Amino acid sequence: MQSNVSQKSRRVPLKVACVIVAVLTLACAVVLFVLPSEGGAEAASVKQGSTGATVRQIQTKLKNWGYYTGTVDGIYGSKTTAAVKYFQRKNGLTADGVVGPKTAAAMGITLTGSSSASTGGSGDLNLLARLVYGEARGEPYLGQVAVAAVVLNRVKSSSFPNTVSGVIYQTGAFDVVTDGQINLTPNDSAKRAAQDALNGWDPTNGCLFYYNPSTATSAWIRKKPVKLSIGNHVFC
Amino acid sequence: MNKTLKIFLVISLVVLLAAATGLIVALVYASADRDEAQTRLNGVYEKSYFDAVDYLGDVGTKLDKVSVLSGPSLQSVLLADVRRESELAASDLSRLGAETENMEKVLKFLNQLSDYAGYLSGKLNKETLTKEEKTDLARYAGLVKDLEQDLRALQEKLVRGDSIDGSALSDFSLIDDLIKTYSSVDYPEMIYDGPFSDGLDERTAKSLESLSPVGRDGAKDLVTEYFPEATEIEYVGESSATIQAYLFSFRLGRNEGTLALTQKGGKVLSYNAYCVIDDPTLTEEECVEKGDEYIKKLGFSDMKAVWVNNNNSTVYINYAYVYDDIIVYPDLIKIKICSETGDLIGVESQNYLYNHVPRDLSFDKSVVLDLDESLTVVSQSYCVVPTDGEREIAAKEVVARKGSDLYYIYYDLSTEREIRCLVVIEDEGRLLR
Repeated sequence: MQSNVSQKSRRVPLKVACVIVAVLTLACAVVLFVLPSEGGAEAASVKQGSTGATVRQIQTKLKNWGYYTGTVDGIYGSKTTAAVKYFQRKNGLTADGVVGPKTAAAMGITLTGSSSASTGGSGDLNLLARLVYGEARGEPYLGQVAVAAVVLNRVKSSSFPNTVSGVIYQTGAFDVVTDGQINLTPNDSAKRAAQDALNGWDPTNGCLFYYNPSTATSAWIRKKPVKLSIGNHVFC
Repeated sequence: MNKTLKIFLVISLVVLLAAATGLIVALVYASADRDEAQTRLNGVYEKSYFDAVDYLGDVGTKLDKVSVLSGPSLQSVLLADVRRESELAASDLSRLGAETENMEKVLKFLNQLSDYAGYLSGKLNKETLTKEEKTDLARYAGLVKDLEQDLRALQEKLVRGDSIDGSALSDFSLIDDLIKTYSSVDYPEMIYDGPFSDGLDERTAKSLESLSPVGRDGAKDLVTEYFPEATEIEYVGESSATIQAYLFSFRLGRNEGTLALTQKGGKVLSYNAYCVIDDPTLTEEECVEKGDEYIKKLGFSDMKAVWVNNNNSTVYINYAYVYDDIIVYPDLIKIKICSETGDLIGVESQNYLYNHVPRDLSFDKSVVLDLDESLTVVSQSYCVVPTDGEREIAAKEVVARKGSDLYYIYYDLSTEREIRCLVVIEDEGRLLR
């Protein structure tokens, strides 16, 4: 009997502990799920291969300070990388040749954009790249350009809003806006695909819609004549 | 129960109570945040709704006024307002929670109305409105006023607490039901010289019209003709869009790309490859030299590089057809070059294929320009520029500098008036705006 009591008294705290752990785990999970996250925007950086005004600014600063002897052409090539590494070594920074937030602060410049300064200052480009990444990452490159082109074809069509943001944020137009994937940081492929579309590439030759035939549920869109198929998407 | 066990239980109870309290507080806050966010969202929807009602009311009234006026000056001002407010009404409506399929026709009508009003406003600089145009405008006013009235009728329901988008307080969308009704209206066809003209739906590739069809095998042979160094050539499908094409994928250098060849004539419609560029070594000039060679190899002759833009070390070059030093901008081909390897990584020739036909380019060049005295001319040339619709205008292009800004200004040779002004924006690439 004593032995039973003793066993029971040893079991009670174990059960309580289990309940506590379960409740705490559940509580943490619920709190983490329910409470809005702070969001972790990826720090901007400029590196070899980047071009544009920020690169020009970096080259000008480095040239003025004697770290860079090349041309200020806005193209981040190997000479600019070498100059940035030289600057970083002299200033006690990690000499990786990439201008991230710390190197930029040491240079006295501000990096713009939520992803990479190399994506360009254009809001349309960044927004379009985010849509492409959300909607078509994993698709062939041509399919990513095609998705971006569909957005731009809608901008040019009278049946849709007349701006890139108007088309992308039109209520119910794109799932990635509803589920928040539009806020993911796009990769290089999505950025280049968006850039190609903005420069006039349209693999769809004017299509206004696309869908994945294995997941689309709308009977209405399935009635539209398909013009071409790229990867998992058909375009119409 | 021993003392240690009691302490453990008390601590556990306290922790449990603290966790439970924390959870309840977090849930209350989260719920309050969500309610607040939903209320704010409804506020955004409702603002769009009220703005749309206002704009439509103005558009209907102004169209009525235009139809009773006979002089061009006030008509032109009113039509400019109709242009702006129709576009804003379309933009506001598109933000509301209607299905895209229902919204399409309503937006098309409003955007076309905006475009048409802009066209008529411009026309009033030279001509007056015809009787038919005034009748059309009065008809459009009727349609706009009907939509405005029905939208206005939703206000009572909004006051009762119904939601515009249907996601919060009711399970149906007020706007969707209304827009569904209006998407079945038989809107009139509008054909005029503008980007949204119904006339553009009938567009054909003029340069391909007289060419013979090419079979799939013949097209594959052409791939090797255009890209002799291509390997792993594979037929991947067809496009039945306006310009019908065969699609081939292949490897070229270190890149894998997809080529579209027209089924009529076997011309290069587009080519695109993804290229990672780590070490750009070629200058823009060197890329243009390579581009000049590539474009000839692709079978396009008399093309001149008219615009170069470096985006993330991909050099985009626009080529226009040139005849007798006259630049024909509608016949445009774009290519892209990798500034690390010099490889051709893209071609886009849609505009060229749509527009390139033999033209009479013997136009009068004795134009006298009225240039602003603050400008320093960099270069001048004669050209053909496309309108927003399908027309072409013989023009003089003046490239001029004011301070550090570079402008491209175009003058209609028949009227000697400025018809377009673009400025070069140097940002992360080079843009003409």
